[in-house]
Amino acid sequence: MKGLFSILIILAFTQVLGPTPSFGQSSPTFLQLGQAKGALYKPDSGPAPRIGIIVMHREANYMNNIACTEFSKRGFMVLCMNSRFENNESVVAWELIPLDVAQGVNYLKNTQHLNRIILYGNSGGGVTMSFYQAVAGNGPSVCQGSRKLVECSSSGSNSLAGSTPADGIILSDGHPGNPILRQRSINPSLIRSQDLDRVRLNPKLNPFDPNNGYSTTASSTYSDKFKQQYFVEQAEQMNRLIDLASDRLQQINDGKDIYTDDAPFDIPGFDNARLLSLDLTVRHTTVQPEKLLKNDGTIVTQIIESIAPPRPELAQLNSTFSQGARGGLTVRSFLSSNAIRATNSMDENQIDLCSSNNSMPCMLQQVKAPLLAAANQASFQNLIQEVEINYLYSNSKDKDFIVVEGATTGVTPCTNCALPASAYSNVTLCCIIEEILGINDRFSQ
Amino acid sequence: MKTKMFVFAMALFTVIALHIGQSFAQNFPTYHQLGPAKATLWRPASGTSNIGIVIMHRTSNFLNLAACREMSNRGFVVLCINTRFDNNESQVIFEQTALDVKAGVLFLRQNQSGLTPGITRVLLWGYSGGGPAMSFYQAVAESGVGFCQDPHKLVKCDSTGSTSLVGLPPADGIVFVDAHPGVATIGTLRSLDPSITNENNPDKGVNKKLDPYDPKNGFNPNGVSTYSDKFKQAYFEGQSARLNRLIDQALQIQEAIAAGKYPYTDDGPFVIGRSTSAKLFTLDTSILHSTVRPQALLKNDGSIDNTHIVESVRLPVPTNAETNDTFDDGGKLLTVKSFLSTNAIFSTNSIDGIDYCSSNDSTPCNVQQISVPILFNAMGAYYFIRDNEIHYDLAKSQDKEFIVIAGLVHGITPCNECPGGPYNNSQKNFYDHVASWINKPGRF
Repeated sequence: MKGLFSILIILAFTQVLGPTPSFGQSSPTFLQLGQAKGALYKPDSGPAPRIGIIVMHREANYMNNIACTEFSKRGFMVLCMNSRFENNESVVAWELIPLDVAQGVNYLKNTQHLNRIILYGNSGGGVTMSFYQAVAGNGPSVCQGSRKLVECSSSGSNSLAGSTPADGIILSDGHPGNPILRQRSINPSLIRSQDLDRVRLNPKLNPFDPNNGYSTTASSTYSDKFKQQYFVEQAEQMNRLIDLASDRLQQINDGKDIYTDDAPFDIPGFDNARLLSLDLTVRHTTVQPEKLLKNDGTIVTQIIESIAPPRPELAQLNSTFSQGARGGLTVRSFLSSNAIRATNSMDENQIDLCSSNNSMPCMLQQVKAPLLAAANQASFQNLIQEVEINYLYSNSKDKDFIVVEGATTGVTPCTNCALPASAYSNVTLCCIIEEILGINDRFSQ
Repeated sequence: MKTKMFVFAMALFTVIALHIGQSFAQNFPTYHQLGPAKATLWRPASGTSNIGIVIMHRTSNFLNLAACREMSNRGFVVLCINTRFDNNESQVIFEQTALDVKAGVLFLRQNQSGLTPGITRVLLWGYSGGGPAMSFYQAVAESGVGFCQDPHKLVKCDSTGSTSLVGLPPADGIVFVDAHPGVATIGTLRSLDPSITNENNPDKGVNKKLDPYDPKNGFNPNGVSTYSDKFKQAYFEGQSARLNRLIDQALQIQEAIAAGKYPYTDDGPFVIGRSTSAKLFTLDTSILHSTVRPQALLKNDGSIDNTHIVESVRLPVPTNAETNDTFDDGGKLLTVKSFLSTNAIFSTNSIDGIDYCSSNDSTPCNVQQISVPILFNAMGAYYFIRDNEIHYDLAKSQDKEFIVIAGLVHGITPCNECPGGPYNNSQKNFYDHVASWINKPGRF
């Protein structure tokens, strides 16, 4: 198997570097797909594509993501989409996201008549695609039930019933979901007032206090006791916020609020207090030996360490509104796309993984299609173990996990790691080739 | 019989082919990333044009706006842009929208895509909120950054660093399409509910005497409301008073942030309840109802009548009463920065006592700096007719024209229920008129 893999890599390199390559479209076509937007990238030359790839995130601009050109260069038709919630975290109604993915799937199937559709989710796009696939394969019951903080619809214009499943998923540094990330990023030393407009500090849990282990110049080192308290309090803070938001929503629904539909929900210190990005000993390796795709194209299997540098600058970002409060949320966008119940933020066994629909470990349990999970070794959020855990939760029988040496979440060479960027000069080529192998190997027939 | 059929078919084919051959827009535009802005490029399917048009709004999705296709169908190269603030009002630093217009102008002028050779003239298309954005760009391009750094401005533009507005290349002309006076004026000042006295809890301390949705004050839930002159005067002054209070509040928060005495270090949330759905003129259509002088009206039959005062045929929107109570559509989720930059303007009366140049987001201020040819179009079934007459009067340009398009609503579609119809030809008439204005020999 290992030998076959190497041969496939060599073949793939040959295909990419050979005399008659396909070239990615320099000027993609714009498509308005309902409330979503799309840029369609076709190979400029070579045979007509039979496999289509959809690239989309929750709210970030992916219409010119590196994957669009890299995949189309290699002979695929690529539809790079922006959802209806583009550039605006405060309006995200997560349970509507699959409607936009469905627009893309239907377009490639019905208008472009492609045989196979692959979903490509980078970063927050990973959980977007896994949510779509889980619902498409199993119906809206996946996202309904009393356990859910917010349920999806199975009737009316927002119904998620009847979506067409894709044929496979590629996760590129796909994180566990916005709510789990936020739970691990909330500053638990800030004690917020009931209306969230005032805060006071609990110094014992301040992650940015050198007395607790914070370093302004290198990796912080927190004690086990501190970490344990920190993770438990993060979960408790999230639970309190959920209660607060749920009460306010009830008040709105009962006609007892000043607004009739939604309300602002701004949370000081909600993001950027993530110990994983400060203390490099927290989840800094894979949990088991895994494949590492090296810069020279070879693959080794070993326990893999993250090379992401620490981010002491989070201390400043945590106290801003634009980053620390994520620019402001509403009661509904908080509950739908930022909240999850737990008793310990870092223990999947103590997180109610399916209390949110924005949860990769929950959704991947429902996905049967072939899955390639690629983690990037220099991920700025130190995601390699997070992506591995996603992979381990997947129920797909045809699944693969690999870490790409020296790659950032943006699938570019790390420029601030211990080694110079030139040590990772093939990151893009390697990563995409690995992903192509996943596709060609499984869907070429 | 067969021969006759064949001849007829050939004749029909020839007519269709000739029509198609004239100039049809490509079926699908190409997508281009212009730094933080996005753009679609629409080229005529045949022929070439030396005139390019840049279309953009502050926050709305214009990548697929009808004008993109309609104007490329008429032979022009059209670049439709979404700014860096796409879909997010709370992020808007209005002064920076000019950087995205600049990217579009240079994209066409320099043929950066390689798809638009030979463009020698670039026009700006300012539709709705695109009006203040385009007029701001052109004003700074013609007058320099001194204009947007005037001490009188609530927020000043940058002249250094990555957001500097120094050296903007001026466009060659502007087409305004139902341009409004600026979101600070129309979206905030004239939309505020002046009966609100407690910003933290809009339900408390409501001044019933200024409640626009109280039938005792003149509200009609089933049709046109009729408010007394006294009520209107108090209402418009009340709107100004509320916005002035909000400006003071925002400036105080800004000072607290600078002094490190605020929960955030960079910016802060600025939420305004009951702030977008209390436009009195959407309820009482006698307000801002007509031009003050006879103006040109492009009628449904294609003729132009310039002998009469032009009246709006718009219908009232009493359902705004329900919207006013919502957060999504009746409130504003802003930040201190985006409020001051884009949503704030000083005034004493929201209709005719506005300090237009206290904000950069102000078409009536900006057009005073603009000397290139300008066409002002106002839609006859909406409420910007009088505003556009003011814009026209204030514009510095010697080559300027103002026309009202009969029976079109703000979305540039016919109002089927409005009086005086039908208006089924007005949409085509409008685009044809603009094309004709652009193509006038000697203008561009």
